[in-house]
Amino acid sequence: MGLEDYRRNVSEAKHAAILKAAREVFLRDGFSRAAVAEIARNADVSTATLYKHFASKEDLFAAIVIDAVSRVEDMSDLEGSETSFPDILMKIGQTYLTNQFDYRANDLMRIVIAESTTNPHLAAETLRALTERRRQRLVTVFNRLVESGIMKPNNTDLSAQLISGMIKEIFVWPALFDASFTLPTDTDEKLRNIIHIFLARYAA
Amino acid sequence: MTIGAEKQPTSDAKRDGIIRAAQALFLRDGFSKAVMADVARNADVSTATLYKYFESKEVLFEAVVLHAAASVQDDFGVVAPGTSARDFFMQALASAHEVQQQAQVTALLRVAIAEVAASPSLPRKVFDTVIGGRYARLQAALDEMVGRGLLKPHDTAFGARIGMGMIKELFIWPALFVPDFKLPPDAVARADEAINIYLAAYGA
Repeated sequence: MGLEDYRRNVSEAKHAAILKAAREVFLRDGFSRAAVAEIARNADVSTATLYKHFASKEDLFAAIVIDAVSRVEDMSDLEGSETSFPDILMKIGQTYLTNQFDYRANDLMRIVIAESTTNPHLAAETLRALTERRRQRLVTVFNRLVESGIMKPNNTDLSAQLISGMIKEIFVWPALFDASFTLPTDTDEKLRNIIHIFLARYAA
Repeated sequence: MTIGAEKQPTSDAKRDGIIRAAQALFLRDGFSKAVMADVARNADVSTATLYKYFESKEVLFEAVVLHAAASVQDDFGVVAPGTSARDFFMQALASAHEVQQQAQVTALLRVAIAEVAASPSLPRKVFDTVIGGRYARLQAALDEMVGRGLLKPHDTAFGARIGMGMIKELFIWPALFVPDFKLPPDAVARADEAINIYLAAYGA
């Protein structure tokens, strides 16, 4: 292993340690009260090093949000044409909910909403990471389904928003107001109901 | 006229004054930092009078949110005689759009969400009374339309929630993150698709 590789590995390890420490501190203290110095200390790096990786506290927070939502949002395995439309939608819904609940995207969302008046830039960035990137992915999947004749031709940007809205209302909206809200035991059945409604309009 | 009824107008003016003052302070300071003594001073009443109307800051906050929501949507959920399901939904949509335009409701919900960690009972109560109240009104309207044969029999409690979810996705979610969010000019036209989805699934 060359010196360059070694340096890069050390740098990547530090980057990951900072993200992990920051995630814990932000989830505990919220955004305003979280101290960058404590994050650096918990990650075992200097504040100077931390700022080399993340230019600002906002950037650091945005990186955590992106990290949380990108863990399981890979939808590439949905490309197989043998899968049915309802199965694909089910997979998308479950993936989304795993992100929101298991990787605590709900909690991150709440922190950002609380900050949105004092820190509008942070909120706008998070909104982009949390919703727009995901919607783009969903639109890509829907466009493919339209091309392959499984889904009726439609404004996929709009239909992607509307199905997200239905899922959010049932599972995410209550969680925004109550940190102890967990996924109901009949989550899959509720997802199936949503899919049933969606398919009435869009199944080819 | 009884003495009680005679006193009513002054009392209501006081109550309105308190609610106006409280709304301004909650929006400026958030819930935790807002001080009851300031509310009383700004409303030009004694703290004793304030507590006669609202026994706690929590109760006051709830009243403020209910007042903001009610001021723009008194007719929400009323099914006019001879109306079609589509007409009803379009009217409900216009009402939701008005709430969005007014912006205070969204801002107050943001204040409630910011309290999830510090005073969890507040956001929970806001959810139950304010949001739960709107679900109930929409559900009652859906039941009424099922009764009149305008919609197929269906799970109207679930329907009320997913219906609101679709509209919230378009009108409210972005505004939660971006306080000065401006709806695109075609927002209401886009929301028509939510009605199409609902009617495709449950239209009679």
